[in-house]
Amino acid sequence: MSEPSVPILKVEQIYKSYISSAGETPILKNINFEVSRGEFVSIVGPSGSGKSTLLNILGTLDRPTEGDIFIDGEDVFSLDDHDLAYLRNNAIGFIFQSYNLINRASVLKNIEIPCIIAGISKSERLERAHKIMGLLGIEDKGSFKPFNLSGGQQQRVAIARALMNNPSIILADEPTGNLDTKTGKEVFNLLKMLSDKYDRTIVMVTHNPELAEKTDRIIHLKDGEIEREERIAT
Amino acid sequence: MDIREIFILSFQALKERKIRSLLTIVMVMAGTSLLVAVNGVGAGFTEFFNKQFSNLAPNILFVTSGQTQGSTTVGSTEGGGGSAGSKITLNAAVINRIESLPFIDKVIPSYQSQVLMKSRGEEKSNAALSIDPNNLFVIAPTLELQPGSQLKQNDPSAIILADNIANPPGQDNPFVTIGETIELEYSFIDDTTGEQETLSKNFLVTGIMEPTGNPTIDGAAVINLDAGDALFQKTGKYDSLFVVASSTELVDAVEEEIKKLYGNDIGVTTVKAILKTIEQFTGGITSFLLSIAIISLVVGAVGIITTLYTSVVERIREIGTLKAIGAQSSNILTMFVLEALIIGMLGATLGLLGGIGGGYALSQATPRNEGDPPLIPLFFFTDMVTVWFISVALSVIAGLLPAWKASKVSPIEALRPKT
Repeated sequence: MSEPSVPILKVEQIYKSYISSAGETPILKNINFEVSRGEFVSIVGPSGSGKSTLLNILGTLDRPTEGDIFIDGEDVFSLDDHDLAYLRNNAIGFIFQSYNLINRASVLKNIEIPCIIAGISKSERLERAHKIMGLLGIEDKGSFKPFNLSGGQQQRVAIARALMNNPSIILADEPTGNLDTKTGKEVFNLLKMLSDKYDRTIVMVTHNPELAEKTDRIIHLKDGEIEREERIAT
Repeated sequence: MDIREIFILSFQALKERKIRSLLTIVMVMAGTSLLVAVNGVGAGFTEFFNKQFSNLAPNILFVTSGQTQGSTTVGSTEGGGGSAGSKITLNAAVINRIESLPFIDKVIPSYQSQVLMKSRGEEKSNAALSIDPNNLFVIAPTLELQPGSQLKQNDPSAIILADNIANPPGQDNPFVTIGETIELEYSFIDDTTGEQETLSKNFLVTGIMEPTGNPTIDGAAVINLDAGDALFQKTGKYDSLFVVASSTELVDAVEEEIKKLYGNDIGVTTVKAILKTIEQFTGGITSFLLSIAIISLVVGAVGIITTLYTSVVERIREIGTLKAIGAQSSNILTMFVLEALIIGMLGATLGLLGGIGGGYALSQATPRNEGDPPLIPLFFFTDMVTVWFISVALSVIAGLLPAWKASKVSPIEALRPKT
């Protein structure tokens, strides 16, 4: 397998701990890995292994106690909050377990939001949205309110939203966690398709070993440390 | 981020919580309405009194004095109490002296006393004004007499009554009509014996006065000077003088001249001074009510704080999501401030309309005398605009606190899955 020279995501010596009255509790220790363009990486591990904290740090929602993260070669934690928000808007696409759509706004408006935040013109927004909705099979759902859609459809809306600003990396936190097996598989296959066909870089946290087996690489987390990495032969 | 899009999100958020938003709007509306209504009625009051007292000839000064009397009048209408003796006695000499001052057209003397009036087996206590009847038209230029009335200047047995004495409001039968006789009874304490004495005299009603708006005239029973002197035992010591200045502009100069002559031994009142006193009085009431209105406006602002705080807590996931997908803290702040702005603008606008309606309702409910001109609230455009902006500004300021809290929401906390 050939690796591109510059990794799209580089994680260096991440250490994260919480200070409480009981003292310092380490959550993540000695985390080092790289993700290259077009790679689909899954992070698995038991509850409390630090998966979500790691994903939050990758998504710049949380700052590590020590260590650095480079996205497209940029040292993200040297940025201030304003620039971090800008980075999240442009370089990162989030997909959540519970979709986190805004129920009072239409599906189309939900999908448009990252572009609205970025200040992209209406015509450009709509063009992008319709293209992506077609790709994900929700082209006829634009005028619906999210709560009128099934879970699988809502997650597709969330995926569409994550793609709108053409991010360098997509972060998915248990994207199939709220879905039944069949729908979960469908949603996963969409992510897989984005990775295979459109060369999207995806990091996915999952509980589901069956789905993890279908990604390019599995990072096993245990007690806040990388236990092992497993490359899946394709 | 496009402000229009944030506005749409804000507006939708309010629509999503219809009842709560409406109640908050009503809170803002209540404060604004009260402010507008009180302001309007206050202005209406001032206008009302201006109109009332425009019936008083503005070129007239009222001169009074506590007379050294041989008797104490029962319920003396002009409060001329105080230490008797130190005051000037308003007699013919004083009249001559005042008349000799510059800018004075005329000095009209009068006696005033409370009397018991008896007619058709009924009795009522009323003020009697003893004055040359022709001078009534000088004091109240708008005075009109009812048909069949006659002014009998030199007839000490003639009496002219105000319409509300002859035809008491709310009663089917008149108290007395033209051509009938009415008995006036005057009670006083005899200084030498210390006992209460009563004098009475019959008068023939020769005229009835239409309401003028002048309170001196509208409640009066008018008899001529000779009749008053005899009945009230005044012996030429007048109760009050109406000093007619040659023009309204000269009233202040005349007042100064009289004061120069007699100092504080004499009481001089001008229409202007009366109006000023009334304005101070209504102004005082209005500012008291305004402070209540402002408090209710503040309560409305607190309502906005509460509503938006609740909204922030409820929408914490939305805030977290927006931040995760790149919204700046300032975008979130703007979204909530806009919600406060929308509530404020709707509340203030409805409040203006409600305040106008409330102002009219309040004026209707204000008690006033029969025959008085209606009390109409006055609403000035600039006042309304000011009130509107105050309400909206207060709403936005109230929104800043929850909006700031929303902007500081940590996306990790907000997005942590609920278990």
